Order: sequence, then structure tokens, then C-alpha cells
Amino acid sequence: MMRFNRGDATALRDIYGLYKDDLVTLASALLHDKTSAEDAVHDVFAKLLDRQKVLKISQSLRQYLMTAVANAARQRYRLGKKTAEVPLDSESIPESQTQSPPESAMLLDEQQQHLSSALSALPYEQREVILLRHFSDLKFKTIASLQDVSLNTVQGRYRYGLDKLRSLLNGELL
Amino acid sequence: MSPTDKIDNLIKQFKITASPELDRRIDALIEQSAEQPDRPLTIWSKIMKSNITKSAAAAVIVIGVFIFLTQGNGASVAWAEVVEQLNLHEKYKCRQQVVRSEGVQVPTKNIYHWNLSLRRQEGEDGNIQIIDMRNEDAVTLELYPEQKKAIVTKLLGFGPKKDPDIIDMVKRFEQESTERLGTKKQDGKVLQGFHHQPNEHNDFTVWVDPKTKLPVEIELKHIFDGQVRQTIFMDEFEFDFTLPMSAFSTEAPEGYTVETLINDYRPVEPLGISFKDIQKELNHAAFAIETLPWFEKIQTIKHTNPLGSKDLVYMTGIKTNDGNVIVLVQGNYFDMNRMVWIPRQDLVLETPEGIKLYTHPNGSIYAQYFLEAFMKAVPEFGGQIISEERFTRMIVMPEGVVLSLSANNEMSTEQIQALIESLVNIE
Repeated sequence: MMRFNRGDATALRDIYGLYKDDLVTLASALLHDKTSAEDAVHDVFAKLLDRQKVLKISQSLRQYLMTAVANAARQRYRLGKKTAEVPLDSESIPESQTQSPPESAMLLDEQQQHLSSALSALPYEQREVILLRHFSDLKFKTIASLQDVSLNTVQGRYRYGLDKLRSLLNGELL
Repeated sequence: MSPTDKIDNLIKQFKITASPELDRRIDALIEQSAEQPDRPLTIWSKIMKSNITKSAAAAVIVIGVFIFLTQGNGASVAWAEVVEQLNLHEKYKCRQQVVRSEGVQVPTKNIYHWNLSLRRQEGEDGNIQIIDMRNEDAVTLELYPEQKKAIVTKLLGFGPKKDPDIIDMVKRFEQESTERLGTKKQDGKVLQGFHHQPNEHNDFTVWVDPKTKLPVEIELKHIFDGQVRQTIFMDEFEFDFTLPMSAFSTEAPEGYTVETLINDYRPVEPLGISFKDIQKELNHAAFAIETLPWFEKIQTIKHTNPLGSKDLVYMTGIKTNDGNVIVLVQGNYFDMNRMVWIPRQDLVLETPEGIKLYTHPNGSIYAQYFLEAFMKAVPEFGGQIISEERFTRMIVMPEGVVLSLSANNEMSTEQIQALIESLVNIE
């Protein structure tokens, strides 16, 4: 990180190499779409380069990157929701071109596919809390500040999300 | 292990690997950045001695860093963001060049799109065309300034119509099926590329300015038999242009000699066409439709081709007892000698008698034009809202004659099969 702060942009390549799979995994689980997930990770690294000289990271680098990717993914999720409202005339594009289930791109094993599908069925905020807590190891307090809600709300989202996840997995994995 | 621990365990095992494409994009980002701001620092440390020159150089570097930051590394643009921006800008101008591999070449034009029903085209030879399809009778105005000549063509019953343009097609690309092409530099700007091939005949490349998230260049290749037959280039885009509405008037300017032409697209004979009449006029076999139990109403009309050519076609409308409207179309040259593209579409059905049913590459637009024209000509079939489910299939009879089938709502395979098996060759 010190190398990076000193202006050595290539240090970012090492940082990327170290965390890339974790960051893509988090964004993919949040967005359920690997292309958008990789765009979110790319956005984070582009911003890091822009702010190279002024960046001060007070937490662990992994947690910082996880938080940044979660923010970028949330922006893309909101954007995707907005554009999905535009009516599309799917007939002019053959169906085979448009029917590409997001899971197919992820190449997960069967167990992970069950979990991935169950996670995608949760409301976005609940999914985000569960992933940031269990995958990114963030504290509830950090997640609350990230989501800009109270600690109680985050814990509520976590509890509801977890209950729903258990019932969706319906004993298949648990 | 508690269920929460099991979930924790499962989530921690989650692993999705970053693609080589992302590795390449990040590498490009880092290389682009490494090339820019740091080199002057080495020179500075070697040659700058005095505080004044240091301060001056610092100012230069601050400006340099400012330019670098404002131009940015260009955070990647998602395709959805481009679509979002395009949806905010209905009016746009572009330069359109068409390169054909053979045949007559098309002059380069500047096209001003007011909306999908109104546009102005300025050719590089100085000639101007205004196309206005907002009303029931569409009008085109062609101006030849050198000869001070104007041609006004009234297309009776052709409108109102929206003519889907290339930007309209581009807006329909979906994020998932749009591939990134990386970046290229043009006129000092870094552009981000996207590629989309909705079917084997159309291949789009779109270069976008990451700042505006709007297209700077679009290239559409039309491919037939594996060969690029025509390439359309669009550039010099200007969104929300300032050209006044008067520039879209279909009134000829003063001092011009005006020639007026009338093309009548209204139904020629809306009623009373029999299948035998069709047989007399077609240059190949014609087909009658045997009534099926679920037909509520059936009517055949003779009509100018609703797709805009001056050919006549025979349209048979069927109103079904579940509220669907189906239009079957027969016409001269509706055969496999002419429609060689059909076998390359998806074959969706084949009957034991050898009748084949294929998809149509622009099925919903085609269906819309035929359904609207038929409902307008035969008011008893009217009152239906054109549905998002509408579709077109091309029916290829065993002897090579083609009919098109457009339906407003979905049909079951059994219904479609029964319908095409009810076609009887008129002797």
C-alpha cells in the first residue's frame, strides 16, 4: 500500500492479484451477474488510481476493497433496476440471444448454485448484509455506516435475511 | 454445527474467479496511468534547482494532474448506462455513411432525427429529404437546391408510423449479451467499445465517450452468406441538436418548382376478395385457409405492402375466439427463390407434410405493420391493442411458396400447426 501511495501504480497490480477473486465473488453474489460484477470491480480500481496520491486507508486493505466493491455494486444494482423499467421489444432480438441465465456464467458447483439462487431471492439490502458479514467479515457497525442505516436496522436485515435463506434452502444444504 | 455456522461456511467457500478479460482491463488501466503523471518528477529532481523554478514546475504538474484527473482513467461505462443516456435524448443528429460491397453506393448523409416519425436527411450533394410519418397520410419532401426543384410525395394511409432507426436498435441491446471491446483513442479522446450481434445478419460495434456515456461511433455490418454486404457507419453525433422545427416542414420553400406524387397505401379493395381471386393474380401457387372451430371471423383483403414497397399483397385476417388476431400474407415473389435468408432462421416447426415454420429476424416490427394495416382496413378486427407478445413466422410450403404469419398474441404449437395444416393449395 505504501508503494501505491508513493505513486507506484504497478503496486495496484499486486493488490488486484491478491484480492481479485474475492472482489469478483462478492460483486457476483450481490448482482447475480458476472459481467456487471467485473464492471463494478473495474470501477473500484479506476477510482483507486484516480485517488492514488490522496488515498488514506485506515482499515484493513481487504475490508476497504470489499466496502468499495459493495458500494460500486449497489450503484450498478440501482442503475440496472432503473433501465429494466424501459420496455424492451425482445422479439426483434432472437430469444436465444437474450436468455442467458446469470448462473451459467458463474460455473458454481451444485451446492453453491443452490446458495447463489437462494441469495438472489433475498431483497438486495438483506443479501448485502449477509454477504458483507459472512463473506467479507465486516462488523455490523461498518455495514450500518455503509448502508447509511442504524445498527438495529442492519441486525434486523441480517436476521430476516438469514431466516429467509434457511427456509429457501429448505434443508437441502443445512 | 448450527445452521448459521453452516451458512457462514458455505458463503466462505463461495469462489468466482476473475476473468482474463478483467485482468486485461485492469492491466490496461494501470499501464495507462503509469505512462502519465510521474515522468516529469525524475526530470524535476535532476534539473530543477531554485525554489522559483520548483514552484513553477509544481504549478505545471498540478495543472497536469488536474487535466489527468478531469480526463480521468475513465471508470468503465456499463452498457446499461449508455442505454439510460440514450433514453434521455430522443433528438439526435449523426453523419451516416453506407459502404456496399457491390451495387449502387448510397451518398453520405447528415441525418437529424426529431423522433422515430420525423427526420431530415441532408446529402453531401446538397439535396435534402424530410420524412414525416406522424399523421395518417405520411409526407416526404425532396429538395434539389441546384435545380430549385421540390418533390412532395403523399403516402396516403401509410402513417402514423414509427420507423425504428439504428439508435432504437442499439437501445435494445441487453447488458448480458453486449461484449466489451476495451478502449481506443480518437481525436485525443479515449473511447470505450461494445460489440453486439443480435443475429447472424447484424453485427454492431458501438464506441462510447465515457464522459457523456453516449455513442461517438456506430458501425453496423449487414452479413449475408457469411459475407459483409453492407456496412453503415454513423459518427459526428450531436444529441439534442438545436435545429428548429421549421427545418422539418414538408412545405416546399418559395421559388421552388413543386412536383406532387401520390402513393395510395389505403386498402385497394378491403372487402370481397376470394381465394380464387388471389390465385389468378399470384405468379405462384396460392393458398386458401379452411375454417377451424376456433375462428370467430376470417376476412381477406388486397393491400399495398404495409412494409412500404409498392407491391400488392393479400392479407387474410383471422379473429380467434380467445381474442387473438392473426394475419396471413401472400404475395408475388413470396417464394424461396427470392427469400433465400429464410433457411438461416430458426426452424420452429415442421409438419409431417413437410411444411416448415421459421422465425423472422425483425418479427415484431413486421407483425406490428401487418396487424396495424389489417385492423385499419377492416374495422371489425380493430380495437385490439398491439401486444408485446406479437410475433411473425415464415411458413414455407413443400413446393417453396412462402406465406407469412403474424399474430398479436402468443399461439400454442397445436394452434399454429392446425392453422398451417389447414392451408389448401388452390387449384
